[in-house]
Amino acid sequence: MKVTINTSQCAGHARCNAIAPDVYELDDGGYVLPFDGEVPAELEVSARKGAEVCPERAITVS
Amino acid sequence: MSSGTTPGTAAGPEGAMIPGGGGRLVVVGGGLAATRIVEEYRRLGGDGAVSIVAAEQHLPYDRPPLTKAVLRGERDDSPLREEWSSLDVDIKLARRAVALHLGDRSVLLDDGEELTYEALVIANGATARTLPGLTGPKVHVVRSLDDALALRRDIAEHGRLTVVGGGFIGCEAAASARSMGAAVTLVETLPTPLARVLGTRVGAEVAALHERAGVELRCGTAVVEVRSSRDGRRELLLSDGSVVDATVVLVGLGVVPDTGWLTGSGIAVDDGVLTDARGRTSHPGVWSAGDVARWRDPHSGESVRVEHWTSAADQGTTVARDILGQSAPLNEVPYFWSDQYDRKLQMLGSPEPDDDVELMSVGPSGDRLLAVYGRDGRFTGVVGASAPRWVMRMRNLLAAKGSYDDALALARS
Repeated sequence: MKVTINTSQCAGHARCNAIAPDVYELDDGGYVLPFDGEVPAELEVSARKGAEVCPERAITVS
Repeated sequence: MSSGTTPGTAAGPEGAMIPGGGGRLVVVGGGLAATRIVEEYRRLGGDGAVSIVAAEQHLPYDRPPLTKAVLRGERDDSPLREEWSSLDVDIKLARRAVALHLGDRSVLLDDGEELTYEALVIANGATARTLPGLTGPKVHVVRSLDDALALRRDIAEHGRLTVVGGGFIGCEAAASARSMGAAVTLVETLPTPLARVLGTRVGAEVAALHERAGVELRCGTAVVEVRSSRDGRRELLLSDGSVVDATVVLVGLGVVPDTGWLTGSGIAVDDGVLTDARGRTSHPGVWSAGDVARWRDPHSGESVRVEHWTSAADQGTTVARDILGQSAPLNEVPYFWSDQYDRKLQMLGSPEPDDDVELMSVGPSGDRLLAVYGRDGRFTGVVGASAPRWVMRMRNLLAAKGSYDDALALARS
């Protein structure tokens, strides 16, 4: 599974990080760090949940 | 997905539907909660027929942009999904539920159609309050997409806006109208905007934000009369004796849950549909979520109606899981945000306006506001202005019901 984050859409709600801290890390300001690539199988469920809770829809999983 | 049970309408424990059971899920309401219910229901393998009854003519859309990007003209809609076909949902647009018959498990629609259900979710939201006497052309509320587009047209045409009510909707619309170049006046009965939610100390900071942007604030005063000026413009006489133009008005006085259609149904309602922490109503097979619902907080035992975006989303997901017999009580720290000018206000927890509050400056250059709320020594909430990291790192302490002293120490660290 692949995760793509449009960091320019990130507004710092940090809900992705609260649900899936191993996938979605935050920078010093509290915004999500870029992530573009394959998610290890064991993190797929939390990666998907993290994407679903983003109010800005900045995260795509495919 | 196969459940291994007898096909047909298989009801699980406490009225839950079983994946593969084939019953019909009816969702009354066409907003965020409804969307999340259906998405999660299908994701978990729910294969019953699904109907959504949506009062508006639009497919489900996101409401937060209405007072921001939509009002400013940066976009004309904000759909919640790119497509619905993969969810296999019968979406009935511009239709309303008018009665619920628990005995024969059916919902009556305004065109006479009767929908029977195995599981029903009441998620039809709320209606904006209006001010008696202040009605007519160019008097607006913003609850729907059509509302926002109509207000946008009038602001563009007249270049001015008077907002009655300094809550989140009023403050966001005031900010958007200013950025459109309109002359904006905001009338609020309390001493500051947002005082009802954040208290007057943080409210004073919000007031300063709007004044710097050129909004004319009239706080601590109320509308007493709507009248006409000599040249025929509508104006508002305020209780402090002053008069403001009211050519284009937005009434932002909050919302009331849309429960009228449930009167006499037997479903327990008290300023919202009463539910437990899974969204179950007083009647088996019927759930409720979103702005219309008053959920029980699993910790305090209190029933609260929360109008946050995140609550509607989380409640929708929780209800879908419970319908399929897989849920746990919802136990999220309440979260809310509001965009005004270049600031993003973020609120975690459930602060009360009369809580103790301590204001501090945080952020990379020490210029961002952080307000930490407490009551009786308990940490109740935190509000930040464009300080996401400093707000969000308080989340675990809030979830753990930490002390106010610990919260202040963490905020200062």
